[in-house]
Amino acid sequence: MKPKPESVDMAALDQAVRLVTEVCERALNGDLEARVPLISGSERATRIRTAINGLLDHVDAFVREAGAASAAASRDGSTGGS
Amino acid sequence: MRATEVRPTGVERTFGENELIVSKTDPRGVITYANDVFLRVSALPEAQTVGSPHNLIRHPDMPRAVFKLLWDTLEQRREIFAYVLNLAADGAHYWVFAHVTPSFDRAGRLLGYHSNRRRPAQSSVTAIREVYRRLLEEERRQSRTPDAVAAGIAALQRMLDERGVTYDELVWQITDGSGR
Repeated sequence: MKPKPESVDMAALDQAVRLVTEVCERALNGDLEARVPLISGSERATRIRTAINGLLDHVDAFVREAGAASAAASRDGSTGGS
Repeated sequence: MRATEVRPTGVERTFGENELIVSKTDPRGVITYANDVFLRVSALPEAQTVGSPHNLIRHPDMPRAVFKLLWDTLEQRREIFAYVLNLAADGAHYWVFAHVTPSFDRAGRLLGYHSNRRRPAQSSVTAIREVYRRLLEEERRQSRTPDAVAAGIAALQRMLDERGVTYDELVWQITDGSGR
């Protein structure tokens, strides 16, 4: 019998799906701090982790930058600046 | 601690215009998350990065006054934009334009800090290099660290007074290209 590397991969993928789901649910509830932790054993699991975390990083950055921009706009407005 | 052992090679590294370097720290400045771009540009493995203090990537040519300003601002629960020169584990260096913000939970408790960095324009790097060169010059006249910090802060304040701007205004002038 050949060894079945696929079964190892499936366990890693299962774990990845669980972790990604948890992080997405937290983000959905407004917690943009959540990130998928290190997953080993599967290249595909690593890829989905990187993709989800990258997506969250961009959303997180956008929310923070938009917050800074609107704060700056309201400061300028209140002082009559440009 | 480790960063002090890495000798800068003078090799400049850069990253994509649309890439973000992201890290998160706990309230003490210990790294809890670093994204793939952070790890690649800093030449660091993830296992060695998470759990390390953020000064892991500190470059010796960064004025102490800038970090003092950064931490003082964050401690007031305010955000800061700053140009930062970082040192990769392989001795290369890279400039970033950082937006550092405190993270709070819903009850308003501090969870930690978040830093996202974009690639600065070359003209902005040229402008900030000159500002930091002057701060470093003042800091390096002092032998004690607290004196160096104070000298750097004083030099920064003089520079702002000369130009009649606040720190934030200086940063945005440099970013918009009118700070040269």
